[in-house]
Amino acid sequence: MSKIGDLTSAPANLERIGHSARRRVLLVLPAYNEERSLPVILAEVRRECPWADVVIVNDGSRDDTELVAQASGYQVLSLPFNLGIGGAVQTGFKYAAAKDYDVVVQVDADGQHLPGEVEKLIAPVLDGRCDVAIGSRFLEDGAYRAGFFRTLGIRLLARIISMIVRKRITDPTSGFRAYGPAALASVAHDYPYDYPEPEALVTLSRRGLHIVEVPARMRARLDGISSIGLTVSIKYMFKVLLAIGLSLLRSDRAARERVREGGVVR
Amino acid sequence: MNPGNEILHGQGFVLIASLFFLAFILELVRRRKIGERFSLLWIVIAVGMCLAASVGFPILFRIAPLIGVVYPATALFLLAFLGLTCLSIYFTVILSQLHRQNRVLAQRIALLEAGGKHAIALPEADV
Repeated sequence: MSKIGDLTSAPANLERIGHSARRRVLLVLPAYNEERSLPVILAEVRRECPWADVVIVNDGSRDDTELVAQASGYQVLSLPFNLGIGGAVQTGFKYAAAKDYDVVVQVDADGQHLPGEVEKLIAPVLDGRCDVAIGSRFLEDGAYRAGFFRTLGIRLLARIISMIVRKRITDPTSGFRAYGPAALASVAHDYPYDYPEPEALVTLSRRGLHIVEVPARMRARLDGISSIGLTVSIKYMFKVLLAIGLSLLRSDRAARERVREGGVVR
Repeated sequence: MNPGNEILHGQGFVLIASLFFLAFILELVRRRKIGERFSLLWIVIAVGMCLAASVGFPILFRIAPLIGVVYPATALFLLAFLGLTCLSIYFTVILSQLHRQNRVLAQRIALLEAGGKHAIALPEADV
């Protein structure tokens, strides 16, 4: 098991990102009842990623998330009822695939993902060095960590997943990911419902896509209670491992051939 | 055949049948015919059936008198019946949710095709 290592290359050339007609970046912002955090995130996105397109996916929020999203001027996808993070984010992926984006980045509207880190995250994908770049909290010291039990759970899960995909993965639960066209085709077509991040990682790896991790800073939720205790972490890990086990059982032949052809999948 | 043999034969048949059932379920999961949410449920049921068939018989004999049943097989049928009823209720709940969501989707499509986008961006309660 070789360490992938962090890919702190030179920052992506802004001109190449912003002005070249051939490189288009989309940020997918899934939001469920985030009327308070969303405006903050949008302001950061405007400041840090002015060269990126944005699509806000309102996952059936009951509060004023829709109003905030519509007022932003960005493209909004409004789901008629709540699908969960998997369904919401996949809606964004399908939008991105239909519009032929070169890189798609998931940025959660609750504030955990920092728009300022997006440029670092997309660099390896833009350079064609990988199909998926995962922002990991655990590649550098001093970065924001989750609570004690949560970190323990993630570390254990990371060990197991690293064994399955035969690459060193440190943050399998991170949704802060950038997808290239081949990976986008895969997730737009198949993306899990519950706790999608670890399972999607395994699926992408099994389909032959190249995954790398990039050190990324994250922060706690801007709004809301963090109630991750021991029991929740155990339940989460159990469910995730079961889901991964089941996904390993399922036949993936059709999907792998699609990826190998490099064809466009909608 | 003395009673001991019959019971052994019965147990053998049930065990083999449950193993076939488990294989069947695993194949359905592999072929992606069963969705994520239900894969786990049916694997647990199939494994539970195998366990019941292999080691469950002595337990069955002990349970029967406790629930006031004379014949142990009746206890098995009773448990199976209760289990299937619960399963049916569970599916009914899921079906009801799908019905509600289906209606919402149908209505949205009708409104979309009429061209009224802003009128329909309303959150649906309890769907």
